[in-house]
Amino acid sequence: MSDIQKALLRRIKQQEAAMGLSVLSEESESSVSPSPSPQPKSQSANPQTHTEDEPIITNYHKFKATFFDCSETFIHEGVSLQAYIKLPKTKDTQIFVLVHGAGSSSMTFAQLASNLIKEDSNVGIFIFDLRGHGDSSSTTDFSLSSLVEDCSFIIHKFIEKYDLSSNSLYFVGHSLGGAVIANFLKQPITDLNIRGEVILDIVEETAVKSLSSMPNFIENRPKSFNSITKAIDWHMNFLLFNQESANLSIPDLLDTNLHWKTDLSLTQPAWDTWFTGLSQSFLTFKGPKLLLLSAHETLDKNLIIGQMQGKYQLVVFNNNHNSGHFIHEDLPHQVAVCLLDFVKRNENPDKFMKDELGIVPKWGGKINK
Amino acid sequence: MDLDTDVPMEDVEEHQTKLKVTNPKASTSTNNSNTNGRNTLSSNVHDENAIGSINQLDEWIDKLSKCEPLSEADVKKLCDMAIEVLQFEENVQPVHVPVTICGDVHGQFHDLIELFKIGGPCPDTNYLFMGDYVDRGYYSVETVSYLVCMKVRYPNRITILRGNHESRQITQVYGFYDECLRKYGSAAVWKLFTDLFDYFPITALVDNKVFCLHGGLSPMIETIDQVRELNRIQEVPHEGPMCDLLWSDPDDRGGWGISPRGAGFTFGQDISEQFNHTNDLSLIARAHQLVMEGFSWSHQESVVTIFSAPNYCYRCGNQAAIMEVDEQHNRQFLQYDPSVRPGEPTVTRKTPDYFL
Repeated sequence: MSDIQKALLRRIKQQEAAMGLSVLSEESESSVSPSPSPQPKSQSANPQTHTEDEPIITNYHKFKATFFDCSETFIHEGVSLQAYIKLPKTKDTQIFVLVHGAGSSSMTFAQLASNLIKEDSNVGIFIFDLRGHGDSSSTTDFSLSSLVEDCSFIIHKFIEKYDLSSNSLYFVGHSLGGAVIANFLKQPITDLNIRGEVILDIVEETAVKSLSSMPNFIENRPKSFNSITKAIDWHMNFLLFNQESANLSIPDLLDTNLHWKTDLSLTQPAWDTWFTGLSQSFLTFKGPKLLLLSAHETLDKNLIIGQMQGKYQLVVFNNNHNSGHFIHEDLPHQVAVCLLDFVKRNENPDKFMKDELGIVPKWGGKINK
Repeated sequence: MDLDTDVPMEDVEEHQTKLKVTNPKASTSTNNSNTNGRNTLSSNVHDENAIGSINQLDEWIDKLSKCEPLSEADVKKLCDMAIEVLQFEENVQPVHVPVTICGDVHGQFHDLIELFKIGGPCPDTNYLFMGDYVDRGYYSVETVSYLVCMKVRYPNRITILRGNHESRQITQVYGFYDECLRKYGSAAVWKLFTDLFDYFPITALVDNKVFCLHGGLSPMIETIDQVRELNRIQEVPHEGPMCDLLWSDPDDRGGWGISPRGAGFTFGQDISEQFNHTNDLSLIARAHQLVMEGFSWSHQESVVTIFSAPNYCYRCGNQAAIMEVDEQHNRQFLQYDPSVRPGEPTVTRKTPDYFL
């Protein structure tokens, strides 16, 4: 047993004493046992846990094991990429491909995925950990082009393996994930049935500006935490506003020693590749586009022109003090509804007008796809 | 203060006679609205009151010309006066040539003043604005106050239509709400103006030939008479014909299309031509889209887009334009560049201290 683990155990004991044994459940008592639980993915299992972490960790593992139809590892040029899959119910239902941002992981979308399925149990969901994130392999190459190649590779493999080429694909990227999908989708991709692009809370100008304060942010954030609960509290203090979501997303970010799985400082050499040209890439995609911002309208020049020419849909979740940059975690239900509306409008405009708006055009003939 | 009692007095009298004529029609087109009971007020306006109002309005216009906002109490008075005028305008407000037709202004007050320099001062020149007075620019309060003052002062010389930004929901996202909070310390002025916006007419018809509106056509509106049947005095709805008129865009593709904006529709050349033919129109003039030259033809000159906010958001690098239509229905576009603003506004954009 390592010193850190011993220290952790000691702290558990101290906390138990402080709280009084009465708060301990049967479940948590058994988990205090020093032998690590036999989890296949030792990386994300946390054998040395705080009592207070127990229900969170149980819940987290349960979600990963039960919500998805399968989890799968894809190997791309020696890099293993971890994916989580909820298969679409039929050949003509939509699949959401969700791509997370820097320092995050697939489970940032746990609540969004749940809410999407709650609202429409037929849709499929495909989430994967970017290289160097979550349960994908570690790397030192975080350049946008490598991330985009991974994305292209994994989505093609997934569609091929599960024979889903007839299903419509809607790409949703948060933050850096938005830059990944915008770059991936800027050139026509004829062998995939891509029907829409959604980027969550990212604007090129703001992102590029913010990079200058990143070193400071990385430097000042804790290198590790004493417990998962502490890690969640730290995030809930200023980054996240939804406890239920944080309980699923944060355990996925830390290794057994409660250190970050992703060393963000390693990503620094790639920063200047990440966001430059993002707005243009986003606007270049020919299909329906949605930009969803969490707090304020902070569009840059290209996005303002694009918006004022009616080239994409903009939704701003403002006047809400309970949401931040991780809008899909903070307001998962609202984001899910927004995404499904976007799909409905664009998947079959004729049907949308008839069923949702209750109108058949009085005149003017056909409705464009 | 020098009072120009000539044109305006005539204007006010003209307006009052017109009210009596159009009253029954106007009240049928807005019969479900909350305007009942206000009708009696306006017909009792005495000449003395009218002169008092003119003095008051001229004072406000003077103040606003210097880009100084009115007091909250004055905004209240102004909005009450404006409701008296606007509630009797029609969903399809008739306008006569000559008239100068303008597009989005978006709170760029100094550019609006430039517009009046380029186009000629109101009331010597008749104006028709096609909406989007507020949001994005830093002087939405002054811009909309000024235009509403001009409307009340010279009701027959200037027409102000409603744009999709003249809405409670949109102004909370794009700046007008925040600006009101900043300049008045409360949302009261925002509430007064957004309540007033409900009364703005939604379309205008210039000499029965040029149909003017902010956005574009609706699959639910085949004839101009169908616009007259709408109950416009309400918040801009999320969908339906009134929403479409304020949100739709012309498109290179024929037929109708779902708008990428998430509201309204796109309409092709076949649609525009059919609408113009059905309604015996020569042109649809609309705004709503930023066009780099300030104006842009579509659908083989059956639709024109006019955008009157130069260097939109102080950063888009576009020219602005207005369109003069003379007595013979000749059209002339006047383009202009941004005017000089006195220093940078105090609004800064927050950069987050993290980015993941």
